[in-house]
Amino acid sequence: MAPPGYGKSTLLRQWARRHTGTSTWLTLDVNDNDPVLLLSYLTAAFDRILPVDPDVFRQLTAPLPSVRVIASMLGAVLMAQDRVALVLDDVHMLENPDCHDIIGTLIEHAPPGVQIATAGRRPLPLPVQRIRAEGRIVEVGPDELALDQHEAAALLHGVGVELTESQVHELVGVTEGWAVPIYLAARSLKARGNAAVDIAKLAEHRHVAAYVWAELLSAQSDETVEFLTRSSLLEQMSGALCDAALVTTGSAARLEALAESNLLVVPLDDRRKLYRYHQMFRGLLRAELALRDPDLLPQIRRRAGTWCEANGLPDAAVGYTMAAGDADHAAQLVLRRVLPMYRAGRIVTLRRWFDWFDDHGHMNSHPTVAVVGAWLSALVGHAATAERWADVAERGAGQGQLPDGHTSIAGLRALLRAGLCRHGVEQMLADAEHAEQLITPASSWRALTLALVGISRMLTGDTGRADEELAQAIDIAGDDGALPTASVALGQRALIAFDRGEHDEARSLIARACAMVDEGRSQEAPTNAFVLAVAARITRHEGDVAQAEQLLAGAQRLRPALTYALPFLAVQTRLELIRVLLAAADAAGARTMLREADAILRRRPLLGILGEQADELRAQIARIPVGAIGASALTGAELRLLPLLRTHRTFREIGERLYVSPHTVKTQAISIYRKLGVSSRGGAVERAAELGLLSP
Amino acid sequence: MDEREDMLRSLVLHDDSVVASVLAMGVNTWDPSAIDAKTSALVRLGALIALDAPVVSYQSCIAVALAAGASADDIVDTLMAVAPIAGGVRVVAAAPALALAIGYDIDAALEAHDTTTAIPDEDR
Repeated sequence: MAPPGYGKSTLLRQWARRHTGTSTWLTLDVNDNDPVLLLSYLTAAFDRILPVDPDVFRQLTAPLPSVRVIASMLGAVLMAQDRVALVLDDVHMLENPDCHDIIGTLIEHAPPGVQIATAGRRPLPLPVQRIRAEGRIVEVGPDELALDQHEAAALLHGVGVELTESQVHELVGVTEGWAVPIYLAARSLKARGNAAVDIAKLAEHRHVAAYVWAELLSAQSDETVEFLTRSSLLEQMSGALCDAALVTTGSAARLEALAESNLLVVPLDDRRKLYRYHQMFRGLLRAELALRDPDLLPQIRRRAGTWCEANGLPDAAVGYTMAAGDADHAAQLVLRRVLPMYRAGRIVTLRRWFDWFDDHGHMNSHPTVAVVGAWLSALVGHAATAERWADVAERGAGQGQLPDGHTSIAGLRALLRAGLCRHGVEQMLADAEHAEQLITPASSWRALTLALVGISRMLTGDTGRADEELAQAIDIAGDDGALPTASVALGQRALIAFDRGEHDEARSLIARACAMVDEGRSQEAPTNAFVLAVAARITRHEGDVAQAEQLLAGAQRLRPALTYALPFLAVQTRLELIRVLLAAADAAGARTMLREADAILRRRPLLGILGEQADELRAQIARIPVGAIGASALTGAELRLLPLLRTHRTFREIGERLYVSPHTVKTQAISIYRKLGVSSRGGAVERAAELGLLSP
Repeated sequence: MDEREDMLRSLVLHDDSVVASVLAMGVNTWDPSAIDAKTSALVRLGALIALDAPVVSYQSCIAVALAAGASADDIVDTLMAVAPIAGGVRVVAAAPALALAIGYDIDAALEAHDTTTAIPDEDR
């Protein structure tokens, strides 16, 4: 770990070259904070040198992949290996704790023959204490990387410059052993030959980086400088991309030459087709361009975006288009990508894109983005954001279609209103029916529309017709691969059948729903909590207590993310959980669920039959004596904390992640320990895993 | 009442076995009681506040009260009820822990611009 310019990447490259075995390399950037994307790159990196189980690829492309499962599978790939090295450069770019966990998982699984090398400006928050204690880690910092007297002298000698000992001493002192300026000073000394003057000049510069900068630029031709400054806007540079963005030719050769000859351009992998600028200079180059030719910035970015779009790099296209400030085009690109990315689990990236519109004040001018963004937020449980963006969407005019050409925006708005259900189920039904008229069968949103029509009808009490409509929704959803919608609709039908006494039918319907939940490996979708809760109730009724417990645990794990954003589903889920817990005479657990249901009902009254059902259950609970207070009584906040207890983060770090004080974290942790009947963090994690409250 | 009269007399005499059996009553065991589980828990909470008990003790007691059907309002009202007797200092000291135990993060509320959201924002 060291600041830029200390030669970390160079060191890694030399180490990798000397490594007797195979190695593979990955340079990380800010986009890799999306866990699914990071896993894809890691898998690809491994695939270059190892046999990777095709199942990993299947997992990655399955709808809503489970990050933890895939990380373990990659770890398993490593287990079978010997003499393999994985190099990760610029690890400080990873800020998402889920991504830290992925790297942590790989390190944990690495057997003795496998080496993982990381370089960056800051260390990763990884559990290094244990491997440090085991002597399995080598840490190299700025002190080790800095050149000392001898090394500096050797470097100078290599360039053909001889200095006195005291001069070398002074040079090392001024630069603090930083390799780059020493090298540059050496070259400049060679060119100009006056040692004393040059070192003094170096000492005068307030920032050594500025000196370096000046030296580097002065050594290049005007044409090259133009290329350097203009291409500095690009993230990952290839010859073709540079040619397109800069409207020039021969970039590939130019990049290769630059990478060989100077310190500015760095290859991104061992195949030398992709490059980037050295971190130190990217900012300076851009600033230089902004000074010389500010109008070019958006132009170059726009062209880069167009090229990426045409060359199968949709994510990068979005990035450049946003950087160019082109909100209209960015909106088009994002809206086209939403459904496939949602199904691929790329929620982090999607959220980042929608936040861009929000942060730059473009939501108001792009109500369509607001509608879709609100939907996404609702589906992952971000209630306040969903509401806020829904309000923006309401205010906007927004006519016409989504980029798919089949989905009416007015229809989507109505659908959103139905889904958020802010004004009661009667209104929800009206909105859903309105949406049904506007969203045609050709649209990918049709299944969801029909499902909401069915659900709202059921909530107003017309279960017969609701059942038919839900069946329709299921058929369409099945064709479309919209598994979350299909499974929820099946769950609703299962409830209807069960309440009618048609237990066989109910069982078959819920079995189908659960199969979809498993098949899509979409363990993390909050809407699954509903399916699992219904399954738990039905299974419990059949008498299979063990299976019911498992399903219950699965539902509990996902419950916190099912918020008042989708109020009907959130309340239904908790009511079903109450029924399961009542069957086990678990008053504490039942009351915890009821409290949550009440909280949601307070925000969203008028939820039709759900309000009455809650009251009925309240009366039933009152008749049960209070027993033990166990895992079933874990609150939403405590359940959200539980997976973080499994990591090696301190309470303080967890607090930062959850935006609460460390004191709150500690209090909640203690409550968790008490409810799980343990007295330690490790004990809590173990017990929670046993109970199925932590994802596998 | 007969049973209770017997118990009261034994306590006055400090009958060892009766004292022991009273102390041995767990937090979750009630004899068929004239006061229900919820009231019992709230009474204990009041006592804990007055005794200046450690934070974890309130939390444990509040968890029982909630499990027995107390609402967040009931918990806060209990604090109010004992205030004149336990004193201002004790009530102030108990407030943060109490709040946290019913899911109200005061630290966060004090820091936020808008304190009106009692339910923690899940939008993290």
